[in-house]
Amino acid sequence: MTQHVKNKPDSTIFWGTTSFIGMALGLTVCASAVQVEYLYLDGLAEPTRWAPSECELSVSPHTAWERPALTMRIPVDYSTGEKQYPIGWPRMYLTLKKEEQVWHEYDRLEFQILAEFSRPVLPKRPLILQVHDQQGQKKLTTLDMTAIGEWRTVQINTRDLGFSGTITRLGFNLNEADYQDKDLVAFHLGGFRLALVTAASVAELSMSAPVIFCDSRVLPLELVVEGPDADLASGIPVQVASQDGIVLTHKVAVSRGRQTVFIPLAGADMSPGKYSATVFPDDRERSKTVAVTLTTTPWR
Amino acid sequence: MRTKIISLTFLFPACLTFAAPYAFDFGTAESPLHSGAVLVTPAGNKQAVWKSADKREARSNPIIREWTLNQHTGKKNPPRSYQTELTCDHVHARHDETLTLAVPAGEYKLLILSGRSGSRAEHVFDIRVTADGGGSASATFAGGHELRALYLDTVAGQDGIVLNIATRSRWLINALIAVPAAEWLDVHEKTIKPILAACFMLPPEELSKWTETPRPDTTPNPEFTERQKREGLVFYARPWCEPVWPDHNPRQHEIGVPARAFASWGEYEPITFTLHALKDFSSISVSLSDLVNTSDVSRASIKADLIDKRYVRYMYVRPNYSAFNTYYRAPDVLMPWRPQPLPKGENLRLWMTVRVPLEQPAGLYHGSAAVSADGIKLDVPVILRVLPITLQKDQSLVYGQYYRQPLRNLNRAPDDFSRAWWRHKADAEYIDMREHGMNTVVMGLSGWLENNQWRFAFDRLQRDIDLARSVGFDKPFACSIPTGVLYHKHMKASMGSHLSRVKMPPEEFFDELTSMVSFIETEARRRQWPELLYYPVDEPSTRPESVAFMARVLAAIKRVPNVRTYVTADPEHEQFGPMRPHVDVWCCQPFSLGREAVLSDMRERGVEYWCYPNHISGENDHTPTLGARMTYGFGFWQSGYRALIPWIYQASGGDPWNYLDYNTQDFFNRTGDDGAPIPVTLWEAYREGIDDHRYVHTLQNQIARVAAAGHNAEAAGAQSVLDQILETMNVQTKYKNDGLWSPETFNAWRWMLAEKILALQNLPHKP
Repeated sequence: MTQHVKNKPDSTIFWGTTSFIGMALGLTVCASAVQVEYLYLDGLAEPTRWAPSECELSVSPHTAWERPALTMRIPVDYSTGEKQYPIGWPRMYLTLKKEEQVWHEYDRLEFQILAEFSRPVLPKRPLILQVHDQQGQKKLTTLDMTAIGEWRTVQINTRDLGFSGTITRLGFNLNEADYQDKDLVAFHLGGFRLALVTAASVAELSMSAPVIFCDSRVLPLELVVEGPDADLASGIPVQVASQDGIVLTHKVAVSRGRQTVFIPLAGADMSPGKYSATVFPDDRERSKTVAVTLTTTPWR
Repeated sequence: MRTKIISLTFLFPACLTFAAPYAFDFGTAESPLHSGAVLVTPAGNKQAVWKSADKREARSNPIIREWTLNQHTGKKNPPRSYQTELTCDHVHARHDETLTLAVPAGEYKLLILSGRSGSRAEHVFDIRVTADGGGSASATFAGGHELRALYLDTVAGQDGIVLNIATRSRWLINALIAVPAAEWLDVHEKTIKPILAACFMLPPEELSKWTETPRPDTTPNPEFTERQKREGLVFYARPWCEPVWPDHNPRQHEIGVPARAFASWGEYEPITFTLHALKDFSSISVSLSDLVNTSDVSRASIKADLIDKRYVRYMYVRPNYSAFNTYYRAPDVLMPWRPQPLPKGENLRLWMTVRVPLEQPAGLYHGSAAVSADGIKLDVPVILRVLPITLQKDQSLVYGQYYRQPLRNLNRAPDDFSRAWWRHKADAEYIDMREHGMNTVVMGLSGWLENNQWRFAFDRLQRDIDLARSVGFDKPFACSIPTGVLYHKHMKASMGSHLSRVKMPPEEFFDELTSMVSFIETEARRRQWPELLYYPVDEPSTRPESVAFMARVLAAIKRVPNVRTYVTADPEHEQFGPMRPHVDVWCCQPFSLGREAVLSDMRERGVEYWCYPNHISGENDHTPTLGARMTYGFGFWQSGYRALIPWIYQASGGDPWNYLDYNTQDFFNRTGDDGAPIPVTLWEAYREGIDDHRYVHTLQNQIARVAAAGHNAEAAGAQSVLDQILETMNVQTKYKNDGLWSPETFNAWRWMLAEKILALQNLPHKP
């Protein structure tokens, strides 16, 4: 079952990023109010759709974001399972229905996860999400945010998967080697949904180039862009400023997903010093800023 | 299998009996023959006449396509290398020989295939072919799987093509194709290329099961100037630690940028630029000028011949060590420079490594690389800044490699030349490791039972240790010991891969293990070896039986006074808890424990944490140069770990130049004809990471010195750079591709460190 819902984003996540940058630069930036449209994939919470091995599936008594969830229960056993690999990989796989394969139209997959465990601390790699495309490529993501007795949100940027083909299959597995023999662990997984940000926005702006040479032709910025392709086609504004004021403004072409963009600096006559780079500088709700230092150059 | 016996009844001239291109398939009379080729046996025939009366021999190897079950791993493996009708058989000899091919007079281009003999790994083949009509080519290679393609341009006279074959050990020829020069382009496209693909990638029936998945190019099409479009050739510069993919566009801002670098005295530094073709070029040549000081210092230059000049070779690679059926081209091997063709839309990256001479006058050095491409000339500016800095290295840290010792091949090498080749390989590789900052390697002591008495290859290990010491390796050697042999003695079974089949042996096993280690240690002390770290089992699994066995094994080793144990396992796994009291050196794959945990455990219990960062060694991805630089530099600095010792200096299986054959793919350094190493980009990234660390370490020492002298403001100013690095650093357990600084930033940090070193190093000891 799929269902379209319009909603506000999980503001906690956006606050986390912007407030960090704000603190770093002494700025105050408001949380984004960009709208998010969801396609709920409640069918992924139906235990009968998954093919389990070395684990048991059932309908979860919990709900995630008030949507259905399923439980994956694993009795870790070093002596059972496949003959050749008694310390194995309890797992479950699901083939996505046609209407669930539209990931390329969305910015991210989201769901919630909660763990129960027979000991107080989960291992570092409690569970792994597998995403498979039709060409047989797969991407593994360790769900290390998982916590005992607490719902945690998982967000997978669809472009970060790096697939050119359609997403056709999902899987979850753990490595028994990460657990102790006779451990009992259960994961509740629910609220599966695809999220589409309805206006161009920058979900992440990272400090990948905190320092560059003052004679660099460009300033590289690593960012994760979300939003409809039509909105992104016109580019997003980036402003570079020093303590004395704006040095340059540039509109940079972007596409959805993680990427490095290069802001041209040639002709700006940048002298060594501290600068900031801001995306959407005139839109307080969407703006994000990173600091960059221009150092002297060895080649003058 | 088809067999064709060539009739000898044709009338002279024999060349008229078959048409160009003239293909000769060497082998036995019974071995498979390439369609349309002339069979050449040791006896020869009218179309291929051997001159010497000395004995030639032929050998044929089976053409195998079936995968066979490996009982040890339980998995099916492909053949070590794939033979074709052309390669499966050959003619070989130890003496110099002359071969005359009866072909019509005229200009020819020859392709000779030599290799894949199926012989022992220790055997070194050597062939030099010189044609009477001009042209010469040679190859030297070891083992039974490597295949080489030799090209000659020559002229056939009335007698045909006369080839003089010389060798220093044994030559072999599998096939020869003579193509009239005028027909070469057409024949190459239609006939030669498919043959080369079958021989050097995979046979067509195998390749059809594989999918090429090239790395997508997201770079927008750059705007080229009218001149660039007209000439069809563009140069651009990109930081060396960012890969240049074979068919990707340059970024607009990279075009026309000079190749530039800065380096301190004695430091190796890569300087790279890339040529991008907008049309096909048949030959690109590059000539590098001297780099001349332009900072008011006269008579100061760095001669061009002191700069190592290479190009980045793209290899067909698999996405993972043991993956099949998917491949792509990746920038990997730094081949010694020679003129190259460059197809339209492709990149050719020049990789020059300069080592700044000691006391070279500081300042800017300018030069150029003159590019000549089918009549087009380009001058690429090259700029180097020499820094008057003597870098220091943290001598307490360990940098090592897992390593297959070439000297181990000596006793089975069949002739003087082969033995000399292996000795030279060993010498050259150890020097190469030293020059890349290494100070240890993993050793191994062989042991076996003769009449139930232990025998150990102490002298063989002695030779390896002597060689390591000769290049200054001064750190402990992790040394494997024959635990498996001892286990088999007591249990009459194998322990299995990673102890997968191990069962608890009787008490006598552990007593004998203690005796064995005691005996080895006594001998090691008698021979005055550096410390051996006892390495009984590689990567034990977390199975309870495995851990219980390992705990007993380690305890048995520790019963010998003053010896330390070495274990490749991740202490993060709680299952290894029982081993913990007996482990002296934990060698973990990534920096799996945090800095504080590592430092406190080392402080409190005297253990050491080492790391084998295989994720940046090329066993999976051949291209994470940025992650490798981070791992060896800033990442290592902040990890708290004491050593980096990845697997492995060279991994080869099947044909070492074919990464698609064999059950695991080849990776890391290759070997040249003379036995000397050919580096890969990741190997250079290790050294650059170590250099980043040296800049940090040098500055830290300078800060300590000037602070002690009372220059507090200067010390604080320098410290602020280190603080800034730490503030913006994304500390990770595993540095590979994600969450890293941009490539430009690495150099900018290094420059900021250098500036502070320069500012502090001349401050007096006392204010």
